Amino acid sequence: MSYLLYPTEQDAWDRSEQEGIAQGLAYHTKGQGSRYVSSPKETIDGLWALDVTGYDLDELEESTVTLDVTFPQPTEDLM
Amino acid sequence: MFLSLKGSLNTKFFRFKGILDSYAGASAAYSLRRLSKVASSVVRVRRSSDNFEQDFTAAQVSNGTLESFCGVGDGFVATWYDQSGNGNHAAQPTTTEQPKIVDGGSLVADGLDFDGVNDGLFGSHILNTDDVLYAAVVAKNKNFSGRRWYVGNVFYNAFNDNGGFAVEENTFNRTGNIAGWLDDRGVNDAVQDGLSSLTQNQVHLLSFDLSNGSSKFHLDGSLVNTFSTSMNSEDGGGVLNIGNIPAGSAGLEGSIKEIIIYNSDQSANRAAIEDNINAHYNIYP
Repeated sequence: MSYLLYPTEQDAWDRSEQEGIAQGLAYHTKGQGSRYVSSPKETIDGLWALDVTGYDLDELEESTVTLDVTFPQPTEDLM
Repeated sequence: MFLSLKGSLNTKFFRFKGILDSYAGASAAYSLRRLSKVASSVVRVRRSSDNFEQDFTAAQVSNGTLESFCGVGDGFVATWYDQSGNGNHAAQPTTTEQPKIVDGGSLVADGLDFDGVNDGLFGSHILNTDDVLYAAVVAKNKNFSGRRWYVGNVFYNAFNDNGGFAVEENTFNRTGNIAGWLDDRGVNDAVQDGLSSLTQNQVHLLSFDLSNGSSKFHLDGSLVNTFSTSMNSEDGGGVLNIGNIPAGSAGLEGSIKEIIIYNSDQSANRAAIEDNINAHYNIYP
């Protein structure tokens, strides 16, 4: 998987939604249904990684895509 | 001529009666079959070829309409409609986390297929009455390692203010358990041993009914265990999760055919409800 890293979760969701618009997902064309392409996950560094596999990236994004992302181990929370 | 007229009248006046019509009052109910006479669409599907989405009835799922819609591509579930009439629909707005229903133009066997990684559907809080619950789940688990979430609505607001229920493998991280209820965490919570009774990669009917302080856990129609417990419902706490938890770390690798949940005492109806389910799916002899 290839990732873009964002400082905030909202920034990552915004990029996912932007791609959803570009792909013509139903939420953006019909008002209901699929809205986002992928979900951001928090890294051990406190950044937010968005899997952008299959995204139409611009030049700046292509230059900053990374394959090297480390996520925290799952916690033992009940939920 | 007479026979033709009789046939026509029979057709005209036929009235469908589903399991939710016979046993009213479900809090939430999900299936690819029609469960009630008022149910229309059972699922909303996004096809992989162009991301177009459409609602489908149970008949359209089974008669090839859904497969035609998807062509030679895949179909993914954006919304699994609640057939109880309460509007507790379970949805997944992120495309890469939607369970699969059509694979390469063919309907997936055994219901909605969850990938065991990040697939999951999420609804609303469905509990509003303490200490009574009936939940039936028809599902298949392909992978018995780690936590594998079937369905639940649990919440942990603060110590001594938790509640809900869960059907998952290694429930609440307790090895070997398959179901749990929460009421004042650490005081009255309970988990159900029973994982060892399941067979990997086989469709099972799991159910439990909680009433009068006693919970009975059934597997494929047979009683596995009975024990005392209670459950906090707390309106507004947590949401219904299907196939995963919000954190995404307990994904079911398998499939779910049907989920029916009552936040009421159904102990008198349990056997009949499960007979109905088994008659449709032929899960056990």
